[in-house]
Amino acid sequence: MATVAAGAVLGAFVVAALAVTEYLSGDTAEPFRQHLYPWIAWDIGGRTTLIAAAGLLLDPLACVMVLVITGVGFLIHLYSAGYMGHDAGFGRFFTYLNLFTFSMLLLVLADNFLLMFVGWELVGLCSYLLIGFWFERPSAASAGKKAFVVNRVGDWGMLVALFLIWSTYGTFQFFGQRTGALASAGVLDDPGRILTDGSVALAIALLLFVGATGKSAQVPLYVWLPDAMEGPTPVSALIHAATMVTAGVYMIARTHSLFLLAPESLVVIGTIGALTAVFAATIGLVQTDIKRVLAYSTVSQLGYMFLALGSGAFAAGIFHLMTHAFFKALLFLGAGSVIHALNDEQDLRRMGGLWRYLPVTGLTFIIGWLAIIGLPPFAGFFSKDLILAKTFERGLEEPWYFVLYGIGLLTVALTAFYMSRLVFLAFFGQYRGAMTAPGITPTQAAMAPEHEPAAAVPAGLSMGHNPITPSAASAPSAHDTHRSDGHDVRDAPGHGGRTGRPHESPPSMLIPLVVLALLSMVGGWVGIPAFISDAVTGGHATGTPFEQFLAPSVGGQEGAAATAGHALDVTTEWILTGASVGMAGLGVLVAAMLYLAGVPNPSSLAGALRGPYTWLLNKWYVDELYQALIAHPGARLASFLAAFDLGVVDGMVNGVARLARGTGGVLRQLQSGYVRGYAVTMLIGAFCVLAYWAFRT
Amino acid sequence: MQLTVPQLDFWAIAPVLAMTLTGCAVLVADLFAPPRRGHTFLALISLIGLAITAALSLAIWDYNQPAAFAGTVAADNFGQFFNLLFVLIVAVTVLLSHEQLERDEFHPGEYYTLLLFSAAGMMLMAGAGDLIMVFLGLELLSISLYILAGFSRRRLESEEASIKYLLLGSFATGFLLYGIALVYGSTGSTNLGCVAQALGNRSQFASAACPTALGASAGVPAMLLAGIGLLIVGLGFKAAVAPFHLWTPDVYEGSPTAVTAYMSVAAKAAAFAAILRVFLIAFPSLVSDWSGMLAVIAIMTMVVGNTVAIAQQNIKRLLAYSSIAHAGYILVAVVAATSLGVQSVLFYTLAYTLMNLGAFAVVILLGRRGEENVMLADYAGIGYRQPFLGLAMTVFMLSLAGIPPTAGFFGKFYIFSAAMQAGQYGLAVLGILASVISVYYYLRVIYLMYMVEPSRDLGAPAPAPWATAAAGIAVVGVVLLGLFPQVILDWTLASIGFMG
Repeated sequence: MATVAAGAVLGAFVVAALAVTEYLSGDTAEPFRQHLYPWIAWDIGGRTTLIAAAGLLLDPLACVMVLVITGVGFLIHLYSAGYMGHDAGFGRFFTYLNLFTFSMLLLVLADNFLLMFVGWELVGLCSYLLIGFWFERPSAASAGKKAFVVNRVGDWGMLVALFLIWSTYGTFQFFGQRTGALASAGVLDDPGRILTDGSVALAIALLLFVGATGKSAQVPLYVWLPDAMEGPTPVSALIHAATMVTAGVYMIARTHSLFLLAPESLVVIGTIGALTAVFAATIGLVQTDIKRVLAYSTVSQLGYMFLALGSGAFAAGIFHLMTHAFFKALLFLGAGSVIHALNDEQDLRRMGGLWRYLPVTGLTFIIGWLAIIGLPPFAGFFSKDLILAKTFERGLEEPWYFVLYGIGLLTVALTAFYMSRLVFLAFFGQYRGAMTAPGITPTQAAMAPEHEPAAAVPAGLSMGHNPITPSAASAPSAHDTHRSDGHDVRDAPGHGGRTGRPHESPPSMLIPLVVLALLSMVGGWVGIPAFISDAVTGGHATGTPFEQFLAPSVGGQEGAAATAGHALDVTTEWILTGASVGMAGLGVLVAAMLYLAGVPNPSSLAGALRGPYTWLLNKWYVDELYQALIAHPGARLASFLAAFDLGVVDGMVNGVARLARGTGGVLRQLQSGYVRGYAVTMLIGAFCVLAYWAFRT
Repeated sequence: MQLTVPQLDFWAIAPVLAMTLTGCAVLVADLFAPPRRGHTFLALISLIGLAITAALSLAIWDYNQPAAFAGTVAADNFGQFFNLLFVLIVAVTVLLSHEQLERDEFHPGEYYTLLLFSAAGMMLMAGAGDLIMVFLGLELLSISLYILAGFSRRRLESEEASIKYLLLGSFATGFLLYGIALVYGSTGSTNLGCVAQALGNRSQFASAACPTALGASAGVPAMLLAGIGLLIVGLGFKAAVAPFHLWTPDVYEGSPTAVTAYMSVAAKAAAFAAILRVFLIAFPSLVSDWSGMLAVIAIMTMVVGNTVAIAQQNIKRLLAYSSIAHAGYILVAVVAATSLGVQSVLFYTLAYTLMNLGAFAVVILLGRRGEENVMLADYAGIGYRQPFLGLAMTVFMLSLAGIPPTAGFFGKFYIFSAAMQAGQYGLAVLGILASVISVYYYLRVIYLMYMVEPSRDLGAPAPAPWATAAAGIAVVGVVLLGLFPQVILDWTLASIGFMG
């Protein structure tokens, strides 16, 4: 079963690689297009117009996406074969996973908005199905529902944007046909040709962005992603880190020429991106669940991508998308390996010293850590640095971007801190989990935190007495108590509880880790900055190799115009690079002091900073805010509407139904069964037909 | 008086000839058919003949001979489209009938022959260039159907259906003939092209010897309008539109189910082919006179069909009223009278054919020896006992209700788009409202199949590969047409050259 599923994705990867090679050996200025058949074509003003084709489009942008989706996707399929091996829903799992891969490929290969939207919705469906994969757990079921509902909000924006595009351009095709019966222009062939009115362009751009905030978990619609960690860990790696959540980034890069028509929209995107980055990073500082830390980190890194898009550096955004896919998939899979090794333990406070038990996982995880915090020469360094440089460059034109740059730089330090905290707590120090705990069931262990040996070591900020509120000391999180009974409980009874020494994972899980670790090391080298490569080769490159590669897709003349004339000089570039590496080093240093040296003691520090700490632990109370502002009034509105519906609407509908039934009853009287009656009716009908003309004039 | 022998262009009528000859061949072969496997033998001959007919229709696609046989036959793509449609209908009906013939011990020779002859009549109607030819085709179709309706001789209902159909059909024929006579009286010709020329329009369908045109000052004579009105009555009867529909439920209920399936799609398709021919070739200049009339009839038909269907307990009667409602939808597109309107008539006729034949195939498959099982209550729990049958019926009901992505959805979509394009907003809105009502009774069937416990055991189904094949073809067709509507839409576009 797993062979078929993983083999299919491997096959897709091979085919994709062949197709990309084939395409790149030709002229890459023109996208390759495969029209299967006109899906919807309509007669407008006497000539047939293609509204949407069943067609695919391969250009450098799609090349990157396809390779990431099938490549990382295959590794995760392989990993899942080991990780999900004991699960009763093994077949169902791979069915969903394959459906997801198909849908994601459809999304990035579609050559029109409508087909892309089909993929967009399908990945949403797969996400829902996989978050709620263990649907017998209420928390998983409700997390799936939350993801779906929040995504609907984004989809609303997306749909309205599609309506606007349709009414403005009369087609959904990205690019037009030059020849053939259906020759016409597409939306993205110089979109300014129709949009003389800037407000329509702004509306389309912002509405598309609303769609992107839903799918890509940006403020204010990010709330579903942390909860999505209820799904199996490979799902978190594939869908909620590497691929699906980046769909919004892809979509904006694909349609960037619409956004360039309304530069204000880019400011909005950049601001939201920067806010998301710093906001999620602060929450990540204090989380104790290993997957939650990574989830907030994903939200934060997605924020970086949007910051890049907002700075007009679309290639930089896609670059970070790619490197992030490598190292975040690596980190999630590594976390999965840890969880697997500890028999479904996810709490950082009960880890520690795992380095000794899980050497491969530990080593690869550390590579992922170095990649995400942006230490050269790991992948994350190049992409993050490019984004920050581009933002700074944009700031020369528009000072507001200096503020965004500052936020981005601050986030570098925060990222380095929370990731280092995670690594130090999990892999360094002493193991704080129970080696043998025969009498303690998982539930009891969670209910009685004082039994834990955690108190003996400088554990997380929140060890021992968790100060979420003084009265709720035993619960790690006020509205998050479901996490405490140890999740990813796949088949807890058969698994024998969390006893025994941590054990390294099987090879099917380790191979993907190793491959992803290699990619996290070298994957960024395709984006080596021009000022560095110039220093080595003495040449004069315009942009990184990756940017040049993507230029036909996202760096057209408009893209170049957005950044032209403000190329930074080499000294500035070095200073910027130094600043971001310095911030990352600072973050690591602080984390090392707290969690390796224990100076100052994290718990006492948490006690001293109780206010901000509680605030962050409760995730800025955003869930509560939404509950109070939207869900609660929503529920009250719903109950009002339910009453209205029952009393008024249903009354009307039933009235109409009664009317229809009554009409039917009356008309049935005619149906006497007697031929003479029928004949007379016909005769009357014929007279009426004749009378119609007689009396008309 | 000098008689000229018209030029005999046998290519123009090749499909009709093939159909007729197949009918004759079945009659003869019946004498030599092996007594045990006679059904299968004759069915195969019919299917071969149908394949030849289809091949001939395709061979003369784009042949475009609008005035063959002195203007009585128009061999154009419009005709070929319907010829192919009729071949499809008859072929599926042959498959549908196979097990029922065996089960109810019908005599197969006459059955297949009558089917094929009626199809020849329909082909003459769709390819008619002359009102007399419309009449001849209609009679050939009707007389065959009268007999087929009474084919289940042992069942009293079947006899009753046959007699009722005959009496009322003859009555309607009277109107049609009188209408033709009045048109002839006022324009001097029964040739559709000549009638158009008499009204001052040039027409490619005009035969060589047209009488002189009416004077421009003559206006529209009342006699002509009366004739058009009576043509509406006569053809409307065949299409089963209100208020000329009353025969439909009784006849559909009484006839053997396979015949009902056939009648419900074939006669309707033929009637609409004739209506389009007559009204768009002969009377396009009077569109403002007849479209209002047809609009009123369309509204009545949709309202009557959909509301009365709600109260039905018998699936055959339910489908009868549903077929009345669908005639109303098609009439909406006729009223639009634009090229998109005609295209959507062709598309809808095909979609309706597939989904209605499919629904009746399920009805047949649910029947048992000696028991038709046609009450709605018999459908309770079918979704679980015979999952494939339930699934197929679900597809057909959704398509009839017009829910995407089925053929029925696109059919309705094109029809109501055409109506709006033609400025018939009121008609489109009423049509959509009427189809909303219809969702109720279609979904009720699905509800019964999946949500209600069966009240009694119907017994194990006898194997019925032929009818199952028919249902399968219909399911595939309904889904494919919903997924790739463009293919058929291109065909329909190529078929409306007659509009000039």
